[in-house]
Amino acid sequence: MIDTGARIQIWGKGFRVSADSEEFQRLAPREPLRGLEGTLDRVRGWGAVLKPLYAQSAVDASRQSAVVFSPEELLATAYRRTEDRFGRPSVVIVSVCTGMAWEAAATSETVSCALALAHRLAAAYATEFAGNPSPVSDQLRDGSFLPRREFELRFESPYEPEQWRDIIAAVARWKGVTGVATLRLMGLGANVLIGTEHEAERARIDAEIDGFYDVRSREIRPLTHDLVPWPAKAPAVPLQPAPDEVAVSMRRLDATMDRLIDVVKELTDAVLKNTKRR
Amino acid sequence: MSPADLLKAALSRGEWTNIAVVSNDVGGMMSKRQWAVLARAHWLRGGGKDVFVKYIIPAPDSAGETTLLATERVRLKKLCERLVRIQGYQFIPLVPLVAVHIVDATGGLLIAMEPVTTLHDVIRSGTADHAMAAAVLRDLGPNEREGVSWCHFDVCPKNIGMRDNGSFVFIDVESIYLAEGDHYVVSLPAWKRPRAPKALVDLVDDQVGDARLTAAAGKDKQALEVAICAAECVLGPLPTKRGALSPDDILQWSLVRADAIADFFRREIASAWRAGRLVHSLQEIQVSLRELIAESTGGDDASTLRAAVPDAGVTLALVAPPSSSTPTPMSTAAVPQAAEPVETRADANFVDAWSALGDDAKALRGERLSGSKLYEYRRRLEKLRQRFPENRDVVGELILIAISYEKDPLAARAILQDALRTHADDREFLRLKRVVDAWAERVT
Repeated sequence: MIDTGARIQIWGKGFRVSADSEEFQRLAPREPLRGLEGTLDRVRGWGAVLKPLYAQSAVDASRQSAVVFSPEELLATAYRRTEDRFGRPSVVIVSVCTGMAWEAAATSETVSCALALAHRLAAAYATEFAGNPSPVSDQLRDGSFLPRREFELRFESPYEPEQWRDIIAAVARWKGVTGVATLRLMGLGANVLIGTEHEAERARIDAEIDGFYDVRSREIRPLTHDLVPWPAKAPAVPLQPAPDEVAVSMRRLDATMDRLIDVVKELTDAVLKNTKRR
Repeated sequence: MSPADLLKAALSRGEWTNIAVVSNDVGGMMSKRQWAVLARAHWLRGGGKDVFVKYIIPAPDSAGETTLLATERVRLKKLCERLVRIQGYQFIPLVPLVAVHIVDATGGLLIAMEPVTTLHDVIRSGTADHAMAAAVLRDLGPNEREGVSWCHFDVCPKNIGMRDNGSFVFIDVESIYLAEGDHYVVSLPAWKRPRAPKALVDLVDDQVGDARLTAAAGKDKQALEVAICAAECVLGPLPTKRGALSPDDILQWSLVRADAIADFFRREIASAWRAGRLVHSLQEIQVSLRELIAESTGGDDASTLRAAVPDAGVTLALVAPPSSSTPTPMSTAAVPQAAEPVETRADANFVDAWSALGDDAKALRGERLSGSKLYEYRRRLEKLRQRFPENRDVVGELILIAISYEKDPLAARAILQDALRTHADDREFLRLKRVVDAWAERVT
């Protein structure tokens, strides 16, 4: 069982929480997010991302996931369809950010549990947000909707654990993977599609895709040179130079600096002599 | 703003969904007086759980004295702190709480708990049985452990919940108090007085007048109330009537059930009604009940049961009826005896004689035995007593007649003095004698 806390963020529209309340935006938390957590803040062109989602059924939505990585964290994202106060389709997105260690045995379980939480909350909030009810709007505005955005992952039933174990194992073999996502959520920071080569080639028209995870072979197939296999057993994060290598480098630098100083001195002397001659 | 709207505004919708307010009639005093709102909801934390929510609305400044006493903000804050402390004691059979906190925006107290089925509903549905009675005694029994004494001040079937795993827990959690030294500070002394004998009502009311209940009284009160709830699993709801219930009312309780277990509970509770407290400990009652269950199911695992409850110390005398169809003369109390009851039951002469008195015993309890018939019944009992001086049931029946029907303290004292020659250390007889002596002195 994993024992990891996670921080969630909720995206939607139609609630009067900001000047541009009709735009798709982060509803909670309201403060700026940094690093991997700010991935969705950096998405440009939400319209193109959201439009295909409006037509998706709840079953389709439950199969769509995105996970982006940093060396120490992951951000898992899921969505559900809802509707605004006019009965028009709308979307709720929930992202879950949590720490992870690539070397740990429970890495894929952490991913599965983060996705489980994201899917569960997205489904719940889709119901709560339907029609943009005033009490929800009031709570979102005054910050009481979610007083604490920290959730415990250890209570979650892992989401598709076997598939994500294989996906994470494949991701660990490639350098340059920013994240993996299913087709509908490819615009949210991932560069590897979970799907077929055909889907990947078609999706490349709209999104930057560097490869795809082939569900049948359980391998990542690169489509660009940005994906490079890690050397065997290479760590995901480049190692810092060892201390003795640093010492050698420093000695070489010192010697170079000494030679430069000598050259400068000779040049100075030469210039001064010429000046005296005048 | 309606109470339902108050609740919905108080609950953070990012944590609580599917909020459905339930009728105020479902709950106790708090909800009936609209001091609290009850609801079912889904909690999004902890993996997502369906919960039962109780939201206690803080009293406005303009509220009346009683409302302020119950729901004043300061009290709610103290109550919240107490519940958080109680949660720390895993051995207190409290319904699992998933959230307890003061809602910042309103000052109200939010208590969210695991949903349970109330024992009240189980009893009313007719599905309660002797196994449930044993479980009630097992789960809600001792109120002291690891140096911590605690007390639920309002034990009744509506305040007991049955979990999905079949175990029983206390709900109405704000009625649970932790002992402070040798007493409880009862901040809201609300409880079901009609469900208790007058002596206990007087004792408790006298003590909580200054908001203090001694630990001993709290223990006795809770033990009796738990035993009554267990009895209701077998006998159905406790009888109700205008005015206080008498021991005879208890003995008439659900006479359609004439088996040994029903009879056992009637006698036990009736004895408690006379004494103002349980005559035996809950643990002793539990052991006896299990033995009766084992007997009624044809098993003989009494030794196993004794091993399971090693601290019981004594085994209750099981005054089984001579036959299932014959009403059993009941003693004023079922009294602890060691292995003796087995020998007594084995005595065929006694069983025959005892059975022959069954009709009179039933008539006595139905108040159809008076005058010469009552005199004749007593005379036959006295003869039986001469033949079987060790038997306590006969003594109990004689005392019952003297106290409850002839209302003769001197006769009761004489019977007890005689009984104490044979049973010199009998706690029950000694205690009864003290009561009868006091009665006799007042009369004479």
